[in-house]
Amino acid sequence: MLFLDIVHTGLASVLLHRLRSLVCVLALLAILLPYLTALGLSRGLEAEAESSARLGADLYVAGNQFGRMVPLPPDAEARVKQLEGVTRVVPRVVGEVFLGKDHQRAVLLGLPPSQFPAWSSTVEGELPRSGSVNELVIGTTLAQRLNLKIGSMIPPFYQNEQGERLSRVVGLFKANAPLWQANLILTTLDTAQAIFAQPAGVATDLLVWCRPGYEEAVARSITWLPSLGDQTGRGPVRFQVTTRQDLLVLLPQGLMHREGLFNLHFVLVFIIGILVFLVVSGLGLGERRREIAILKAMGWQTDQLLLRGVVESVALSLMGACLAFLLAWVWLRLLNGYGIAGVVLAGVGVMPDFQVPFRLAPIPLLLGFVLAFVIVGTGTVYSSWRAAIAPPRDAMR
Amino acid sequence: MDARGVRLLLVLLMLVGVTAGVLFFEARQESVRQTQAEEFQRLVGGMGFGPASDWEDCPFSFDPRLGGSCGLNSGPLPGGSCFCPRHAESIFSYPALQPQHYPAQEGSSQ
Amino acid sequence: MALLDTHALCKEYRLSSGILIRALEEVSLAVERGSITLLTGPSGSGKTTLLALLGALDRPTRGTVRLEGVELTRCSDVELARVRRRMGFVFQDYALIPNLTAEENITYPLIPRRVPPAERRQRALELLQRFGMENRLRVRAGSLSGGEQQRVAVARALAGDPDVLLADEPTSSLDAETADFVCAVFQEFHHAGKTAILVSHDPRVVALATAVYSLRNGQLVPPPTAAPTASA
Ligand SMILES: Nc1ncnc2c1ncn2[C@@H]1O[C@H](COP(=O)(O)OP(=O)(O)OP(=O)(O)O)[C@@H](O)[C@H]1O
Ligand SMILES: [Mg+2]
Repeated sequence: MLFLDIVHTGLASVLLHRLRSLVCVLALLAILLPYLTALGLSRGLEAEAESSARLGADLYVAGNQFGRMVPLPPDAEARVKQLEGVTRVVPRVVGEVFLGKDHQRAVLLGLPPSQFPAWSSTVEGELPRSGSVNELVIGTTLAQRLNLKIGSMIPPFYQNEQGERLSRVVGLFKANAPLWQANLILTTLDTAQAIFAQPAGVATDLLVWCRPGYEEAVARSITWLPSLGDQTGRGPVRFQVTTRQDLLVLLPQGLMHREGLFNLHFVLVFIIGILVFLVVSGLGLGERRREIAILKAMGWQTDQLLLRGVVESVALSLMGACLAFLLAWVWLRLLNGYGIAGVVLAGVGVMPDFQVPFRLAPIPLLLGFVLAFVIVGTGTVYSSWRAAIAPPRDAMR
Repeated sequence: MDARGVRLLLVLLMLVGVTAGVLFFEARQESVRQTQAEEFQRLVGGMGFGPASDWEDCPFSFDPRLGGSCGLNSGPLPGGSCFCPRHAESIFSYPALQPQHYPAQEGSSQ
Repeated sequence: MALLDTHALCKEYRLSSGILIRALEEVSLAVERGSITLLTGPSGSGKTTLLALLGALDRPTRGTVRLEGVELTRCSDVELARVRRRMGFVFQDYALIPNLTAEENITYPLIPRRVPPAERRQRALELLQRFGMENRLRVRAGSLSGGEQQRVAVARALAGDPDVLLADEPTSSLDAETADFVCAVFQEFHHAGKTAILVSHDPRVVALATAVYSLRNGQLVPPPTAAPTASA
């Protein structure tokens, strides 16, 4: 009962010192909002990256010359296909193209049309087929920047000695597909080869699927395949394999976000944290000191006064953490990362044309609360304790 | 119980409640995202990995499968993991791909 | 045995300029159980300082204060809090918490006394009614007038049903009628067999005293008298 009563006065004291509480919560927001937002984006991206690794092919095979990745000559596919444990090999062409008068960058991806399903829920419209025009599926940012719709025709944007063709937009990626669709052009393998003016059969890489458990054996076999022939007069090309595991190990482990923006953020936390500490322990200090001294003179014990301070800090931290979380959610979900997405994602404008990937999980929220409590709690409890251990008459003046 | 504490308690409970609701909603959204990601990645055969929506100057930050490392990253910057401008703005960086080395005799037996 | 007694009590303040102020020097007195003890003396003579020492609100520089034979300087923090819960203090500057309402100012000291919430509110209401302030129950103490604050301060001191009441100029801001009423309340407190230590120049309060100690420059002057002096 006594405990609850004191808890109650602790809650009331949040409203008693309005200015202090307000400054405290605002300062916590300044620390936690960027943290939760950036971490949310980073986690969302991580989840998408993991999906990309897990749902992609088992192995990615490319050519290697001078330690650099190079395209594979036409006979590569057949040589990989015959290895034991390989169930499917799909050649693909990936490259960069420039579209429109502003030279809009785009990633062009060509896959054999036999690989495409009849219909895909991430694409509005149709999937590309081989034919007399280049059929393209366009990402949301490209469509927006180049003002393309389904059915739009694109004049030739590439050079090919055999002649260039018109391109038609047959589909658009949906905005809720992963962010890498934004500047992607999906087309058929032969169209992609034509756009890059490459002979039929050339692929930038091969997607290889294996029987379960054979991935490592196949990767090893591919690495030790004899070099591919000297087609271009530039010497042999070796095979290079990237496995799914190679990709998965790149994902950051747990909470180790020490890179880029987070370094900056930790400096920010440090600076603002000290400021909050000073504000918390300094703002209205005289008034609070006197209040504590009066309660002490009226028979309150030091531990009871400290409990009151702890409750007040918990309430303020909880408020700061929850508000920061909700604002981060509003920013990322309702405002689609307006402003911040362009800062942390390369190639993205102020207002993203696709659904920004993010993931707001309980753990960062909990950490935010703990951080807030450490800052506010030490400030409050320390000043309360200082006031509470002095004789009431000293602290009252 | 005085009104002040009760009011704040209600505000706090409401905040925590709404937060829990949002967490729950987001957990449900995760399966929607998962399906979209699955559809997309199956269609394109695995595309995209890093914090970039195009590969301007640095395919590695778009997808390390397209380039195992970033050429700009080896710049002589003290303590610099952020030499490449595409990485500098990143919230999600990762090291270069480690090329696999398989022992020769095992590999050549196949 | 006296309820409260002091022996060679000294309180010195050292100012930041290095000057030493002797607020109390060698004060030895005894407060009998059930008495109304009056402390008088000119301004700055050390009355408030002595009252604070008697009420366990401050530590003496030298000398001892004993409550029922127990030396307060030897008490732990928790024991001191227990001692303070047996006392009711009316401060010269009222010392209300300005952001709390009049009611809360009275009920907060009752929390560590483990008075249940309903009874806390009931007591606050009754006391404020007695002092004619029931319509100020929910008003911030900071926005009350001086006299109103003083009445809340007296009500707060009495709310905990103390054994000892220590009041520093409790009628200084009150009109004659209210001051008379407050004196009547003190008288009633006295008749209940409880002990009061009052600092006042108000003749109405002085008239209540059963023992008087006069202070001058921090010292008791001359030998203490056992009964009210002619000033009554
Ligand atoms: N904290 C302090 N620091 C320095 N000097 C103090 C302090 N408290 C009291 N004094 C000094 O001690 C002396 C006695 O003060 P005290 O408040 O006890 O006087 P008083 O008799 O209550 O006066 P008044 O009738 O004006 O209230 C004064 O000279 C005062 O300046
Ligand atoms: Mg005084």
